[in-house]
Amino acid sequence: MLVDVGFVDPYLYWEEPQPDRLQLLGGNSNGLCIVEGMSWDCMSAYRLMELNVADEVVPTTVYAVYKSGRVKPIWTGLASHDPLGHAVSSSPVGDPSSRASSTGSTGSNGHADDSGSEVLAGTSDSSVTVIAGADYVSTGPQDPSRLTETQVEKLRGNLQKFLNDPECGKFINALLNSLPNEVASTTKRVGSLMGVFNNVDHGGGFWSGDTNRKNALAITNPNTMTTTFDSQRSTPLITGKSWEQFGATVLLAHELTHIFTHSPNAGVYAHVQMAQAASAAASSLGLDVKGALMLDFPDPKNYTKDDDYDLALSEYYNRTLAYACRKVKL
Amino acid sequence: MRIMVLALLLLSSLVMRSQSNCWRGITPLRSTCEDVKKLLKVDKCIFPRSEYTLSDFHIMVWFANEDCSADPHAWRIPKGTVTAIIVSPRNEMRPSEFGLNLSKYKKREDGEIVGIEHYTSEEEGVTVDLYRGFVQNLFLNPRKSDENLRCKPLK
Repeated sequence: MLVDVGFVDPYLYWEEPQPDRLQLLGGNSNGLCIVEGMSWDCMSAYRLMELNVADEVVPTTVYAVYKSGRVKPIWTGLASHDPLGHAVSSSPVGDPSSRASSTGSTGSNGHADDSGSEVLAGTSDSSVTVIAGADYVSTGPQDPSRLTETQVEKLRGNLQKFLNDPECGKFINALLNSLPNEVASTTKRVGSLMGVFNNVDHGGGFWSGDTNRKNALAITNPNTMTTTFDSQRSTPLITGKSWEQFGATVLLAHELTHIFTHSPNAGVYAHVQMAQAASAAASSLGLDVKGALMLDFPDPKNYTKDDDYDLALSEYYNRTLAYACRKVKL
Repeated sequence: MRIMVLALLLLSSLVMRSQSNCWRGITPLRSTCEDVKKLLKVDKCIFPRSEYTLSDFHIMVWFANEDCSADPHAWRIPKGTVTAIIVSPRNEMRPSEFGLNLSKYKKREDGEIVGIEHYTSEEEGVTVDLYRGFVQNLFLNPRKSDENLRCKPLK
């Protein structure tokens, strides 16, 4: 049985075609769940999925993206998706008539295969070439599974404790206020981090899986409103000892700050904006992170690689937040 | 013939410029606080890091603030010289609007946020963060060929 699951917000799952890619653009926007062609309330539909008598699928369109920049839909149908919202397909390009299966390969935008080869899009236009593979290999977490209700509620409760704590809550508010109102396609959200938490919880949900990235303790997909904690390094912290839960809550706040945006699929905050906001919040509240932690805002001159600098910015945010919230008891 | 040579020279200089780590006339290890004030029409520099919000960009400028005796990672340049710039457009801008040709850049996906892509040219000292094809941040650092100005090479 297949369940066509609607989404909380109509803008979720929308993604603009990008050059030289094969994309699966999926999702409906009506907020309803369809079970075998009939409208169901989503709670009942999810219950069917929990009972393993239903699978979740999304309406999906495969687009050929021409080297000239032209985009053309070449296949539409229902496809399963992974927790990052990538449509999962056995080979939508090579066999447009086949429905995607859950045993196929997955790419960052849901591509045909991971072989790194160029795949003809299968149209009469011989100039069409769809680049698939190499850039998209192993982009998603492996063996993901949904966090249990207990784990999600623990995350929610601990985040609420952060927000309720006078010093920590004040810092988080100041940090969010310090995020720039607009950067590129990003527009800041109005509300609190708990609102973002609820959007993820009611959207793609919280997951656990192998993030496949050395520095990533969690991965967030703004398109699907999904956050995946690394199953080895992060998930055990959620219900671990008090200090471990503290770390998981900092990590959660970190991920939610990335998508503290009006339209997460249109824009996100990068680490540089988050670190700047943390620095500004600390200054405005008189938090001396430099004195207490010997923590300076990362200077690019100390890093030869861009990913090292990015990691330093990420850690600056985490350590500043952790310092501001150090008195919270979990 | 002479016109063609001149045209080629002009073209190559434009290409060089578009690929460089220079933005609005500000170049790491070359420009000074006075240049920044003049070119960005701002009234002050804070060392080592100044942040400016302009009508169309958020800018972070790093300045040299220590000499070799205090910091081996520092550059052998006068204090107050720009060492790095981070440009964040407030609106949607494509890389081409910065004169960037990313085909020569090394690409990597962000480790944490699905959809963010990083393009880097170590030669040029430039890194670009893209999200949905729009420039999120542009990091302008010294070129690789400038490393000889480092007090002590970074490992």
